Amino acid sequence: MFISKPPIPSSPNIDHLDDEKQRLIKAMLANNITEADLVNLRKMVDADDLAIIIQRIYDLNEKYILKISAVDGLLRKLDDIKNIRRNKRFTNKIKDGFRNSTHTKRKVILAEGDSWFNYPIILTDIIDRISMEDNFAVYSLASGGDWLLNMLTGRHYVEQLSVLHPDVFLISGGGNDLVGSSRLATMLDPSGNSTELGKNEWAQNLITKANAIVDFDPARFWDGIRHVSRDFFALLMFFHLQYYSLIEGIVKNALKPDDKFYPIQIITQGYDYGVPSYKNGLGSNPGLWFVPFIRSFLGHGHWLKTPMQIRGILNEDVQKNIIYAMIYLFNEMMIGIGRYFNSVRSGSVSHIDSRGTVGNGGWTDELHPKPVHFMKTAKVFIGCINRTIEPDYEHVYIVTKPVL
Amino acid sequence: MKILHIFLWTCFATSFIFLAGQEIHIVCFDHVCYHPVILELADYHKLSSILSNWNDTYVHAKSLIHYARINTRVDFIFILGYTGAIIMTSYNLMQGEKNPKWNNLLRLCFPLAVLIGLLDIVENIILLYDMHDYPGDHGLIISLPVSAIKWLLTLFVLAIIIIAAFRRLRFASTKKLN
Repeated sequence: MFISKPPIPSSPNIDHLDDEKQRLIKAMLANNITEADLVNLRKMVDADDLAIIIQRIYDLNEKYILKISAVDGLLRKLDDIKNIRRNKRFTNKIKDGFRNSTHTKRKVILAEGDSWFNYPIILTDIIDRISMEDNFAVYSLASGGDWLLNMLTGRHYVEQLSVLHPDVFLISGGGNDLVGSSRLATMLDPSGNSTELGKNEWAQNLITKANAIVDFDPARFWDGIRHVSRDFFALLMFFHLQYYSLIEGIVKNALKPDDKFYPIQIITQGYDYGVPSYKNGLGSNPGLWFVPFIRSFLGHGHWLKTPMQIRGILNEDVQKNIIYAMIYLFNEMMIGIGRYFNSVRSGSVSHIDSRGTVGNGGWTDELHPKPVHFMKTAKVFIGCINRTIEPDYEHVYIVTKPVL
Repeated sequence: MKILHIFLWTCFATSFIFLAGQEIHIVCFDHVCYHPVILELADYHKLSSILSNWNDTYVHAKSLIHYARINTRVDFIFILGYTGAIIMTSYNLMQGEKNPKWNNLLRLCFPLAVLIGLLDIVENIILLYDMHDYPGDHGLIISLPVSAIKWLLTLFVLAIIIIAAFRRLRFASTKKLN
């Protein structure tokens, strides 16, 4: 609907892989894998395997996936404007002797991510707010619209990790992989009879291990999950493999004081429950002029609402519940990843949990909060980096609702 | 982007120097009362009397209306310059403003700058119409309603920018003291 006619998929072949890996990948794609097997698979897969898996999930060839996931044109230019500014400020701080070992509170931060970390110009996003702290020097690779797939394929963060030796690595990704190019439509089951969660031991465990501190609305979750197809669980497990691969590459080099990246702190985030909507956002508050502006000129409704309409899911509550279920599981997946790596090296990964903090009226568009909420989330990042606030549980920092 | 910044600041600075220089020159060296801004806020009678006065007053063999026309035409470049300057300045301040309310006020300056510029364009078109072929047989249109809104918005935006700049300076000096 929004993209040019894709080339015929080349049916990525997994026959050349060893038998065990083949079996596990097939089981994962069929959403029929045990937790133990997923743990085994994540130890086996490399970048090439990930490329094959994504082609199978999206049913497109790699070249075309990279084409639709690429950030280019005006969006790329706008992303670059922010990053050039940020990185110039970073360079100036470094030139001024920022990295002086006597100043232990100073932190060099590397940020890789999507529009929650780099929203073009108009909104003050998370990294904008973090960059305002004098004791932080932030180098940003983040690009609005970027896919986690691109971040891992491009590996620009790897180069900068080696060059900058940051104290903190911030990562935000996955949102565009899920909703970019109307892919969300493929993750839905309009019948409302999906039993895919019941087939996925790993995903079920995500729920049972979830901490009760986080508000959980079982009615919303189960209503949403009934409309989620097998492909969503395959993608969720793929995210798990991608994040595992990304973080493992860093943590294995940060286990001991003489390791390359030690004592790097990795901070992840998992979005809030976006609101599918076509509303233009017009209102009487001139301070919110940017809401109708962004919705009119930068697009609104095509990420969440349209894919659901395409699949015939028209009930607004059901639409919201589907996103609720997806984002709930995404966050729990991220928390699970952090839990594992903290068992490898304590304090290596923290997670900022924004679920439920924005609320229905707090959104600029379907996916991006208003600046006040971005800034609120950023303050939790700042507290986490400075270690001035304690995690709410394990390695998880919950963003409380802002006082407006 | 850097080129665009330089272009807009150059438009702002050169047109400002020209406009201010023209006024200062006529007032200080030729000792003639000439303040184009009062034309913007004049009611019908005042507008008529000012234009009549300017039509009868000559500086270097040209009537003041001639200079006012040039001034108004150059003002179009000034509009482009100051709209850009307001947006760039408020964006810079916004990117350092931690308080969400002030951050949002600075963001509000973007569309206000554009609105001020548009009002100024309308105002200039009205004034050029009034000065065209003066005293012709066409009537006069006052720009007062447009200009009043423009100046109110301008004062509001300038107040936000000045206070935000002051806040930034204050925080910077507090940090140095600490």
